[in-house]
Amino acid sequence: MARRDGRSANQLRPPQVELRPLQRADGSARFRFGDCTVLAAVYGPKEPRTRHRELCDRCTLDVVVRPRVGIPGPQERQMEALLARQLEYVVLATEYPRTQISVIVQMSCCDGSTAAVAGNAAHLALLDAGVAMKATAMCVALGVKLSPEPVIWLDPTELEEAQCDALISLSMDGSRRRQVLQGVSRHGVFPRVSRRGNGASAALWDSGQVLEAFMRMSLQKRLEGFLKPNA
Amino acid sequence: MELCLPGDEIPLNGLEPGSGVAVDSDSGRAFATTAGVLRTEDEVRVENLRKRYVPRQGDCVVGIVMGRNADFFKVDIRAPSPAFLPTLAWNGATKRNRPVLEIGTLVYARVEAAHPDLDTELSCVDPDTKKSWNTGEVLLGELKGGLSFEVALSAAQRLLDVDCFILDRLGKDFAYELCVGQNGRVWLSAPTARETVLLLQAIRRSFGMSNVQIEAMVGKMVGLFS
Repeated sequence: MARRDGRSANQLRPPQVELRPLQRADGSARFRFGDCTVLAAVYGPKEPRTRHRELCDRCTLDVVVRPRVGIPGPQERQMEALLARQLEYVVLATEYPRTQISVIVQMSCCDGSTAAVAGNAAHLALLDAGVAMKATAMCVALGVKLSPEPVIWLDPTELEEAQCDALISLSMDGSRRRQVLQGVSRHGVFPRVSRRGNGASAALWDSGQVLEAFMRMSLQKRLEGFLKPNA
Repeated sequence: MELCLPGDEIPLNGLEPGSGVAVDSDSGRAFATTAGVLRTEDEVRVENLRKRYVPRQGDCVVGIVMGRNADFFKVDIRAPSPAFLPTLAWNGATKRNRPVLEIGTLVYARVEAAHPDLDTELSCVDPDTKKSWNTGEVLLGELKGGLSFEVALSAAQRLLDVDCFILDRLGKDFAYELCVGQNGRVWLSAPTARETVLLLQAIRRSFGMSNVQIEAMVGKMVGLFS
C-alpha cells in the first residue's frame, strides 16, 4: 500500500542535524526526520541537585522531556523512561561517580516517530558534550499496520501513525548489527513482528547504518574547521 | 583526519590509551568512548570540542573562588564537582601571613590530587621559586584585573602550545598578559578595556582558522584599531 508522501515501506525521511545550537549547555543537538524536530541539551557531569540522588559508583542520568505545548503529562513520563533506559545502556556511567548528567529534551515540531527523533537528539547531544559512551546507538521508529494486509512502515509520519495498530521505537548499533534496546511507545496490538519482518529487519539494519554514516558526515563537517592542524 | 564515534575499534600499535579511549576488559581491545578526531602522537587519544574538564593531577587550571571557610577555599574549575584550595597552600604562607581571597576572584593553581571518587585538591605552591606569595612574582596565585572567558578544552590545549601562532602574532602589535588554564578558562589583561575585548574576540575567532587567515584578520584589526 503506497504511503502518502511517496516513500516505500522501508524508507526513512531525510535526516538533518544541527550540533551545538545552544551555547551555554555542555552539549546540545537538534535532530529532524522530515518535519519532526526535537532539541536536546545535556548538562553535566555536574554535582547532583540533592544529596540522596548521588550514587557512589556511577553517575545519575536524569532525563526530562518537555512537550511542545502544555504541561508534561503521562506520555512525557513514558518517553522519559524509554529514553533513560536507552541512554543508560550506552553511557559509561562508572566513569563519573557521584555526579549527575541531565538530559533535557524539548519537542519542537511533532510529526510522527517522536520517540525515535528524541532518542537521536539526546544521543547526539551526549556526543556533543563528550560524555563517555560505549556504542553509537541510533533510533528508528516502526509502525505496524495489520489491515487490509500486514505491512511495516519505517519512520511513520503522524498521519501514518494514526492508521497503525502498534508503534515500536528501536535503538540499535548499526555498524555492529546489535540491537541495543527495544521500546514499545504506544499500547496496541503487538503482533509477532519477527515472523513477517524479514524484509523489515534487513531494512532496519540498513537504516541504522545510513544514520551512522550520516552522523559521521555531520561530525566531520563540524569538527574539521576546528581541529585540523594549523597549516 | 580520522573521525571516530563511540564504540569504534582503535588499533593501539603499542601506544598507551589516553583520554577518550578505553580498553575493553574482556577482550583487551581498545575502543573510542567519545566522538572526535583520533590523534596518535605519544598516546592514542580522541580530541573534540568538549567543555567539561575532568581533573588530572599536575594540570595548571584557572578557577573562580566560590566560597571559603577557615581552612580552605572552594574553587570552581569547570569540573563535575568543585575543588578545594587550602588557605596555607601558598609559598611562604603562615597563619598570620596568608592571602584572603574574596568570592569571585580568579586563581591560577595546580591540581595536586585528583581522583574521581574524592574531592579535587589544588595548590598554589610553586616549588621552583623561593619567593613568598606577597611579592607578586610567583606564577601561581591570584589573577588581578583583566577578564576571563571560557573555551573548549582542545582549544585551550592549542593556546598552550609553545609556538601558538595567534598569540605570537598578537604579541607583535599589542602588549597583553594571558593565562591559559588547562580546564578551558583563560584570563586576559591589556592596558585598556577596548584592547582587552578586541584581543578576546581575536583569540575566540582564531580557532579553526589557518595561519594565513589569522594573519589577515590580525592585520585588519591593527588597521582598524590604530
